[in-house]
Amino acid sequence: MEFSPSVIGQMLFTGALMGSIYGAVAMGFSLIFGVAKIINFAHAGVVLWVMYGVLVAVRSGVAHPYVAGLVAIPLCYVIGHGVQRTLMARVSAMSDDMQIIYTFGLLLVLTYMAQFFFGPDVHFLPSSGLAVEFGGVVLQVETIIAGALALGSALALHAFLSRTWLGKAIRASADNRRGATLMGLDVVRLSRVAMALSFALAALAGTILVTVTTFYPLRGLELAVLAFVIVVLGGMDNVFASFVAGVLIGMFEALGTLLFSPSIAHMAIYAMIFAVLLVRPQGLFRRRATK
Amino acid sequence: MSTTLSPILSVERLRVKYDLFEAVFDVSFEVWPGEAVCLLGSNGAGKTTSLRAILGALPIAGGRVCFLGDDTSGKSPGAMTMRGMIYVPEGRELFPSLTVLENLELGAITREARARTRASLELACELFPILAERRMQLAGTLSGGQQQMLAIARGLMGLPRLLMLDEPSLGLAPVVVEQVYAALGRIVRSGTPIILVEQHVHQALELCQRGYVLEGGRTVQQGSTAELAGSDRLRSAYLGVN
Repeated sequence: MEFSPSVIGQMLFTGALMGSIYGAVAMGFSLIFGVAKIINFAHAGVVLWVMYGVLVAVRSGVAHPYVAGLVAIPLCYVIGHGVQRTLMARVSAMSDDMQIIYTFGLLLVLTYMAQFFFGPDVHFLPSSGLAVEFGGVVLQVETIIAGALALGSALALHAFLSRTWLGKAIRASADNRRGATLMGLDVVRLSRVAMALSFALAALAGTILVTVTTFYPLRGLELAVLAFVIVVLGGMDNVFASFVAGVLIGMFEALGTLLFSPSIAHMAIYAMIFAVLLVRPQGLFRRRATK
Repeated sequence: MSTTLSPILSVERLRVKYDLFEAVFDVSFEVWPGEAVCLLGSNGAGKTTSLRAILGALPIAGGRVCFLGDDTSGKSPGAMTMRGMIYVPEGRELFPSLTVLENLELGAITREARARTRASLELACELFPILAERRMQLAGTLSGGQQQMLAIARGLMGLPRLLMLDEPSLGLAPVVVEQVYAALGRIVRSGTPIILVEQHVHQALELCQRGYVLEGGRTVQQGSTAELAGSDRLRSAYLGVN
């Protein structure tokens, strides 16, 4: 088989943009793992519910998807704060396997609640039909906006975590929770802020996903597994690396789909997790722990 | 006037249920303004447990702790730190994957301390010049002595009204212990009140004006460090033999 450069370019660009959205989903997931040491599969359930929320807002003529997203992000921030206060308050004290069962259970509840309310049908929003072309590569405007927002949120989160006192305190409590407590940091409050931020990221990811892909209740499960693969690839608690790993996965998926078939591409992505765990269990971008 | 006449910290008949090895049954001591006080005793005498209970990191089962005139019962470590009680823990408890500079910045925990971050950083780096050199390095890559210096400097960043140092010489080479204690001497002379828990009795006695000896979770002796230096009891408490 032969492919023209423009076809390959098309796939790589589209893949990178889709991947940046996956990265946005994964960042919230790895933020919570880093700070609260919770593997929160329910994160993808939040993304799913935001997608349905935006869909309902658009279908009922209440708001444009981006406007709905602007409402969803602060709303989810507040909900995330409340969830860490209630549903997740004791999760970090559970054993790892209990945690996974708990958060995976929450994901299933969110998934099947979506199925109950919205049915198993595939939904999508009508595209604006606008596209940009350069050098034989055609990109839908929604995809470009989605990629830009995902990249923007990754940069903003990175800046928050590395430049502000609160961001550094969140990283510190992830790094050494007992030490953080003994030096007077309020680790309970910090994990609430982290969960709130993670929910806000889920809202952003859900909003931009809804503008570029089809979705259905089981999409939540797929996103959860995908986010898990991405953070394992990026190194579990490294937020920015999760974003980069997301972009790589997106490009890998696109190329695999082009060269072979979508199912082979997906199988290869999940096979990659084993390769990474065997060869570089600390993730692709992480220095080995020093201590 | 009244503030100079009352202790910074007073601990009366403190009781802490922890585990079998480090329970506290009856510990009392005081720290007055400008004073450096040491708590001495063998492993398991209840020194670290006492400090952590005073900080609010362990629940107090009985007795009374007053810090700056207020009863501290039920307060969290966060609340105590906000009031100026700064704990430099045993084992240093740094943030290994954050840089030296970030570790220091996080030490400035109150609004007031944060506003004075720059001045405090200068002071900390003057006290421990190696930290200025290594400021962009990850804390986990420092040597043990440098980590201890960072832990102390991080504590100073919080503008302590009482600095509680738990085993600052643990695991350090003698030369490094000298360096750490030289810096502690300067901190004491600057007027910051200190409680020091230490197994290196010599250094502790040299640095502090007064001391208390703990044995099996009880205060068994107190006095000026000059008196304690000549005491047989201290020797037995330190060696853990009766």
